[in-house]
Amino acid sequence: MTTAPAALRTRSLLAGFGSTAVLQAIDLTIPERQITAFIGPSGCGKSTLLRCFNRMNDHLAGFFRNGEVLVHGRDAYDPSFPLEELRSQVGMVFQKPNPFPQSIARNVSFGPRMAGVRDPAVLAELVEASLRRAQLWDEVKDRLHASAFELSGGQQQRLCIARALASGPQILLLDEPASALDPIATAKLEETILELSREVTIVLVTHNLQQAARVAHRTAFLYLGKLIEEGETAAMFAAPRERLTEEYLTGRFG
Amino acid sequence: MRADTARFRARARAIDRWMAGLITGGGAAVLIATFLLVLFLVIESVPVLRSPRASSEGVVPQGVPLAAAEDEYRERVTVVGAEGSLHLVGRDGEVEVIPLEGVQPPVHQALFSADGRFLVAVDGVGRLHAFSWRQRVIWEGERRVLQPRLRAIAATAAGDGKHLLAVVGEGSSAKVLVGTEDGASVVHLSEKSTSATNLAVAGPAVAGALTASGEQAWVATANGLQWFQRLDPEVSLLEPTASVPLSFRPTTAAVLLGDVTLVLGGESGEVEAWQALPAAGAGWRLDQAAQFHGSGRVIAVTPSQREKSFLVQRITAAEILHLTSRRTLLALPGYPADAVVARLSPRLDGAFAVTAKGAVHRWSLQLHHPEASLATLFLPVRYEGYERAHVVWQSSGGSAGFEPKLSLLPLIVGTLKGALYALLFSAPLALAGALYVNQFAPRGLREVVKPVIELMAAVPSVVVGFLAALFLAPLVREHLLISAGVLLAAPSVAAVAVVWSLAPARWQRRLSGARELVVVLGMLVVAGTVLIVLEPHLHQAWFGGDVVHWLYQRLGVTYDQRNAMVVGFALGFAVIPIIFTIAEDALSNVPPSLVAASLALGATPWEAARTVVIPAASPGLFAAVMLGLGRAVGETMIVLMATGNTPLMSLSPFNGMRTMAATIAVELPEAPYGGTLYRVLILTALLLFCFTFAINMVAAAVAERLRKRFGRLAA
Ligand SMILES: Nc1ncnc2c1ncn2[C@@H]1O[C@H](COP(=O)(O)OP(=O)(O)OP(=O)(O)O)[C@@H](O)[C@H]1O
Ligand SMILES: [Mg+2]
Repeated sequence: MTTAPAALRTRSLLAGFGSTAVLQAIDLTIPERQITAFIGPSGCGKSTLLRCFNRMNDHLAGFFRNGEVLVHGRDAYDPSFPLEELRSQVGMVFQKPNPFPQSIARNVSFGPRMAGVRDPAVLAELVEASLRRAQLWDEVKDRLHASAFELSGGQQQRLCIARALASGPQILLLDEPASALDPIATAKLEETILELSREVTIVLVTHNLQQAARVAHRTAFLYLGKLIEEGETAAMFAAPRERLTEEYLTGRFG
Repeated sequence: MRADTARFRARARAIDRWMAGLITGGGAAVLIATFLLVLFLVIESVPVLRSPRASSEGVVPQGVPLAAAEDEYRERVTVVGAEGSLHLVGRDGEVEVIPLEGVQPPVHQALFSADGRFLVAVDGVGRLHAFSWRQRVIWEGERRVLQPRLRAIAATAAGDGKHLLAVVGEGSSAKVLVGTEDGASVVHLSEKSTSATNLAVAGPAVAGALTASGEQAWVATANGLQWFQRLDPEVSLLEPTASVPLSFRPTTAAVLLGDVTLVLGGESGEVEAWQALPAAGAGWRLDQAAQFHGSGRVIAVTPSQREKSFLVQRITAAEILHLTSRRTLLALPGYPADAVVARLSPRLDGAFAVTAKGAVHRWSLQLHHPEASLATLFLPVRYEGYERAHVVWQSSGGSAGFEPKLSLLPLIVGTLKGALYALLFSAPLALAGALYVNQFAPRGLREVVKPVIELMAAVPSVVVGFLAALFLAPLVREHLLISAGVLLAAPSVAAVAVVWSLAPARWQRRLSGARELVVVLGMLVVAGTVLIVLEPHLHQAWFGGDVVHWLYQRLGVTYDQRNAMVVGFALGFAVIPIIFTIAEDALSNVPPSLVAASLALGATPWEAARTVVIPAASPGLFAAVMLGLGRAVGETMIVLMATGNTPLMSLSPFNGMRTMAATIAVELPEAPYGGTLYRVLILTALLLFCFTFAINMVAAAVAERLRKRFGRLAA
């Protein structure tokens, strides 16, 4: 099926909140350095599954989980795997841009500073490199110390990507990163994501099927907490194996 | 359908307009009410600083005067004429003459006592006569009539070369201080007997004064001042108790109301106040309490019978001075150059002077509030009986001669001290509590803690004050060590937490959420139990049985039962809900997405709180503390009951205090309307208002700046 080694992997993963199971028996392998898109109707559990990879669910009330989540072969929920280390390996960007009320530079250097980097020269280097990778450098290099709130929505979202990249993750989780952006900003963001996928594994949750078709190498379709179908995007969009997938792709529900 | 919509829209718009009007009106009403309140405070308090005023009232001609006095209602001035009679000069110039019984004209000297109720005169054959002089009030319908009553007490041979220095009297006896060629003597005249005792004066007496009781005498010679006191209650002898050389030639002396201070006038215009103070070791020493500036030989000093002001009669001018404020209140305008006598009216609402030709000049006085000036309100003042200048609040005393001490500094210091101790105790607890509940506590706990703390605000402050004063204060005094332990509990837990944060992550993870809370509470219970069990032994072993005693013996620290520590607890109890609620709200307003972002970047929850949540919420946190401060400054009932109300300037946690709010609450109901105390208290209220207003302004300004610095939070 796939030749690249697995970056993320779940084994009969079951998760939910309180007494309701949200995800049921998810077995999924996500290959390295590719873009994998999660699609599916609202409430089907895409975000919950995504948050299992960096354990952001742990902070939500009533969350429970069963089954394995492997990050580069290592159990993410192993008590000896420090949360901070997991999160510096698995970065995340949220649906709405959420820069800190601080300067652009301080936003980007947040992760390294939390990890204990103090040297201003090292931090400055990291800031520049991360902003370049997020394709934001040219737009902000003259105002690194201005408030992050002065940026446009699309720039803020790329700032959030730069911020996540600064910690040096091999995996980046993006939860509907373009849903608050206009078409031009979206195109720019997609370009950035595609560029990044050469070195980083990207998991992208999206409601926009065209976006999945445009950028994702692989796509996973979730429905009511179950993984219905997973495969190469082009193949899946051309000839879905499951009837549910076909109905969703042709817009009969969702 | 469309008509319906249109009507609905119209109604909605009407309601909108109506509500907007109502809200604007309400806001304007609040502003106007606040403004009127401030205006009231200003109008009622500012007159305290109004300058005194005197206006001249007319001249009435009369015969050659020797001495004069005036009645309480300022109806008639009584002038002693050389021909041996009293002339009662009315305002309209009408004169009633009463002969001085048994007096052989011409009268050489005459003198009224300070209260105008006794008169002594030396007549043409050198006899000293003493009279009691009253004017009884009789009402003839609506009309007030003063009925004069002159009664001769006694007369005795005075001898040549003697002059009258002072007279005091009571009932039907009078004591007269007489200067002789080689000293002075006190002549005691009563209906039954007459006696004279010599005072051991070093030289001829130039001036002198007696206290109201006649138990003390001051005598000035050409170059020194001596103080005599009756030491043996069995013997009526006044013994020399203290003396001091003078740097000027004295001319006249008078004891001010209260019998503490002597005012001396001098040849070249000197006016000095002297008092007797206990000397180091034993005995007494004379101490110069004040010096007033002026020029022109001082002829006479007459004290007011109302307060600490006095009239200084100079050769060409007359001034009214005030001891407490060390001010010259005013000079009588149009003072006649040939005046022989000048005195204050008994009620201090007027003054009069009689010229050599017998013309009576009158003035109306409005001294307003001479004891209150910016200097006496806000600077140290040398009060009677004090060795140095002090700031003291003591607004009323037992006797008429009491000197009101109206320094606002002890009240301001007390207010700030109470607020400071309250904040010291409550602000860290409330802020840390809010942070814990908002960011770290298990959800269930948060839903319990918040309403419970908000409920604390519902406890009436009088109940808090009552419990603090009658229950907590004795308990703290009895168990000072345990109280110190309680104060140290929060810092200790914080210290343990810091140490714990260095422990391996795996251990830390095992102790999270509710388990962490149980462990901390368990630690506190264990530490508390250990302290309670150990306390008696510690008392014995280290503090000789009693910590309070030990503090005083070893460190010289005095301990009041109702002290700043107790107030800190009690006032803190009232302040905690305010700080906690506002701080918690501010923390809640930090978007969770920011916390999520920092957690996703590998921050621990504490790091997320420290680097993102607290800075973002800092305007609100600051405002919370400031509003807590405002509450602590304005709080009345708790401090009234728990501070002990001693107006001290000490910042020690073991001493009490007196706050502005408590002083207003205690003293305003008993302050006579329009009086000095009333106005000073209203001024205190105005200050208090300015305090809280300033605190709120600063809070708003700083919060605004912080908000700008940390930017608008993404909605
Ligand atoms: N914090 C939570 N507590 C309880 N239930 C939750 C929580 N978060 C999500 N859920 C539930 O889990 C289910 C899946 O939610 P999730 O957010 O994963 O869906 P999604 O596929 O991302 O939807 P969308 O496309 O609208 O973002 C939903 O039914 C939702 O109600
Ligand atoms: Mg989602």
